[in-house]
Amino acid sequence: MTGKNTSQGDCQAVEPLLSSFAAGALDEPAERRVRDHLAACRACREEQMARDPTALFYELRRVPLPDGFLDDLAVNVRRRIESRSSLWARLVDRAAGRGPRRLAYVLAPVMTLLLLGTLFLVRPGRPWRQGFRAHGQGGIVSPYAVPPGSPAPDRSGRTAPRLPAGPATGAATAPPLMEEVQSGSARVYRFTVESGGDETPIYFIVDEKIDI
Amino acid sequence: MDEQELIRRSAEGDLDAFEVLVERKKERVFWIACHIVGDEELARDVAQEVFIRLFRVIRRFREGGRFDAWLHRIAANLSIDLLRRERPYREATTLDAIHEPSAADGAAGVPAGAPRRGREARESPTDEALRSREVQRVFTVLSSLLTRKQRLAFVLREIEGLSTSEVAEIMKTRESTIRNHILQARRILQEEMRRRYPEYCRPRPGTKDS
Repeated sequence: MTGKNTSQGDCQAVEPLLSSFAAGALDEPAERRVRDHLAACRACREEQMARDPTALFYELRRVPLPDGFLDDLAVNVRRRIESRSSLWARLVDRAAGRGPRRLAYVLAPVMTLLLLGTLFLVRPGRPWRQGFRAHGQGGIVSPYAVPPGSPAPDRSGRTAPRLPAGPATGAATAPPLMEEVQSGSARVYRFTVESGGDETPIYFIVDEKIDI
Repeated sequence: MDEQELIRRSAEGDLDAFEVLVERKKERVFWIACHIVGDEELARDVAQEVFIRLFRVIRRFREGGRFDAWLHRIAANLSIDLLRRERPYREATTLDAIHEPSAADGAAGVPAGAPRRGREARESPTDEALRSREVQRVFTVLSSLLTRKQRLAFVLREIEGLSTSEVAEIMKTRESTIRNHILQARRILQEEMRRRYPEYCRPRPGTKDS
């Protein structure tokens, strides 16, 4: 039995090996030799198909292609490579590395950082949203900041602390005052807010005997 | 020009050298893709993608390495990726739409599943091409029953004729694992062929005497 591309000697050499080949009992070089022969020799292949029908698929190694089927492949590849040679495409390619998944790995942390950074910069209450302004020129000023020229608050004694002007009070409103009012055992503080000619007193009573 | 020289020049961006390299390797890459995805047009697209990917990463190739194994791994991975994307479609169609050979096919000149007696003696190149397409179709249908690894191992070793060590290198696994994949693949294919295509499992009269 001979196939198209093999000699009778090949077939005679391979024939005794076919049963062992089907049983998977050959070593690697002999197995490869039989496979290569079955791919080339149709007669041996068809005989082997009685033992192992999958021998049919050795035929696929020699499938003829339609004329010119792959002729333009190299040209098309070259054309596509050249069309992607722009700087941006190369950057994307390099970032992508092993494909879109790699690109996602690169872009995800970058986008997350950008998002967090944007939120941090534009969230309400950040001084740089209003711009830094000198004290007394408007803008946002801490209610606990000491205005320039005012006496430093005395923590030790019972002197009347003077709170600075609040930011919202503006020029038309006098700064609120807090002063200690004389009393017996408890300490009483009066906090006066003046606005538009009216005075609103607010009292704070501090008595150590009161147990809430 | 020497292959190593072509690889070196391609890595430096020489498109002429790369085109020569593509010409040399395109057929094997195409067939690997074709046997995995089971469609010639898709396989040609995959082959193009393989070479575009190759050009992008060829400078990473270490001199002295097995370039073919490296290239075939790219081809196998891209083919498997395509198969993975197409899988829902393929599973729904290939298993149900098995074309059983019929008398009408034979009458129309289309080679049916069964090989005809004595046909090989009179077979024209067209008949041979049609028969090859039929075998390819049978393999595509049956190989959809295999896992991707079984299919890849079977295609690379049994059909493409690579050695077990080369297949193991491509699939990044041990040779014993490859043998196991192929053994299982062969068992599944044998059972299904005996069930669906018994005509391929009978010895053809006269083959012994030819």
